Amino acid sequence: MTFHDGTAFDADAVVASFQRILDPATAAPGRFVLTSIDEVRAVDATTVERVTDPPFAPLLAHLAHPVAAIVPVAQAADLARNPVGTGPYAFVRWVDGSEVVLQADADYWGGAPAIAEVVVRIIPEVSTQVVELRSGGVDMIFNLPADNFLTLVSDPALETGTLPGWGSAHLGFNVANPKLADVRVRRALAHAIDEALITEEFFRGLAAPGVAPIPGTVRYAADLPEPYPYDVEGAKALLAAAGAEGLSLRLDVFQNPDLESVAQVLQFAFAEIGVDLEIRVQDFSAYTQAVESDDVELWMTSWGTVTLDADYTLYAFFHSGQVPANNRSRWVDADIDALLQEGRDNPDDAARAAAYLEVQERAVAELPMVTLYYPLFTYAKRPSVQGEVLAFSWILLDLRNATLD
Amino acid sequence: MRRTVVLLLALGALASASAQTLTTAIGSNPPTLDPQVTFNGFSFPVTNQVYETLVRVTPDGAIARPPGATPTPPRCA
Repeated sequence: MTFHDGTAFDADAVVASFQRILDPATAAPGRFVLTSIDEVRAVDATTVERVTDPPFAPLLAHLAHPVAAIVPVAQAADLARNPVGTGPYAFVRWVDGSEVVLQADADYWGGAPAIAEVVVRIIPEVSTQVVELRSGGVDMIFNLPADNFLTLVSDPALETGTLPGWGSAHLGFNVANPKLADVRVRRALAHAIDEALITEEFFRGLAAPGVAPIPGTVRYAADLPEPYPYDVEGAKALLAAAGAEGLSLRLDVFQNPDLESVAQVLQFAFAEIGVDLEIRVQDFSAYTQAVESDDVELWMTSWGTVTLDADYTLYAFFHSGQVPANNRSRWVDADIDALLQEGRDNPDDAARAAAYLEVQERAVAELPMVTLYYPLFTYAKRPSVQGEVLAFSWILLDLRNATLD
Repeated sequence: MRRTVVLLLALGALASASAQTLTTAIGSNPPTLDPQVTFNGFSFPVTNQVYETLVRVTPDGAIARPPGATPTPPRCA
């Protein structure tokens, strides 16, 4: 087996590829996905051994992450502009801001894909993507806002679909902030939010209300009842009991049309229980700096459990060692740390499930964050495209068995 | 005259090739097509066609291995 350029794909190539992403000098933003690996070695030409110490139960899920792709290290300096892999399509050309052209690899190990060429056009405006789909300029588009998607659903010349994704959206609380330290205040804010209003009125059914911090597509996601139903009077009573009437809070959010709109829904909802909410919208790097600062109060984020394993998200959000980069709630608890470590160290499925169930139940009860919704992902295509495999995210589009009439 | 015929044949070949082209769209120019140095959602839709991971996620959430890939069970050192 070889890479598209003829370079041998063997155990040594795999080892070199892992060593490259693990090398701090590579400065890979996705390095953390693989840092459980202490050592990679080639046992023989076709066998690679990975050593993790301590053991790391979700390792296999991490090896499926896009950043764990095997690259020919000898070409490393050129891969950014001239990608070379072992996948079903080989790179042809990339015209910046216009298109990337790929052609089927006739020697692909799983058999050459039926569709000879794939063109990925770069089209920033969703409305332009829609026009191009209708006219046949593109065959398939993804991740459409509700209004655009619903107009395509009624077009008999097209096929549309929604699928549960790996994503979730959260309203986080800094539990170390005196304004938010009392769990009754956090519960009051949760009771003030009508999640169905967000999922049905704003997302038009293209998102499901959230409870557990991970959606049901993720391994070990807990199916929990909604503990904080929309209840304005109950929310006011909780605030009164906590002596927190007339609260003023600040919400940090990054520039994103969906999140900014939902932030306005929250501002209105909190006003109903007498809480004044200031919304601070910033670009992503300023936002990141703000939420990592100890004076953060509330923030919103969207997240994807890309490994589809509970560890990826629960460890990041709730382990004490993840303050402040990912555990922005500053929710620090030795029992939670122990449960998260158990989930990593114990390869036993039932033991992992039990540990992650307890973490999720405690997170929902103590409320370092409210999980607002799980977005569905959408696609629309011309019916001439058949046989493509789509699940969890558009980035996993699998065209190996797709056909085009 | 002969040149013209050759040119028309070449155009015919291009037309049949374009019938075998699937076109998709992404919303932004990818910052890079090296999957190891990015975490950008506009890189991965392209890199996932060109590169492969050792295992991949199937639509039922299982982890699929290519034929011939036979992981040995984890063991403690």
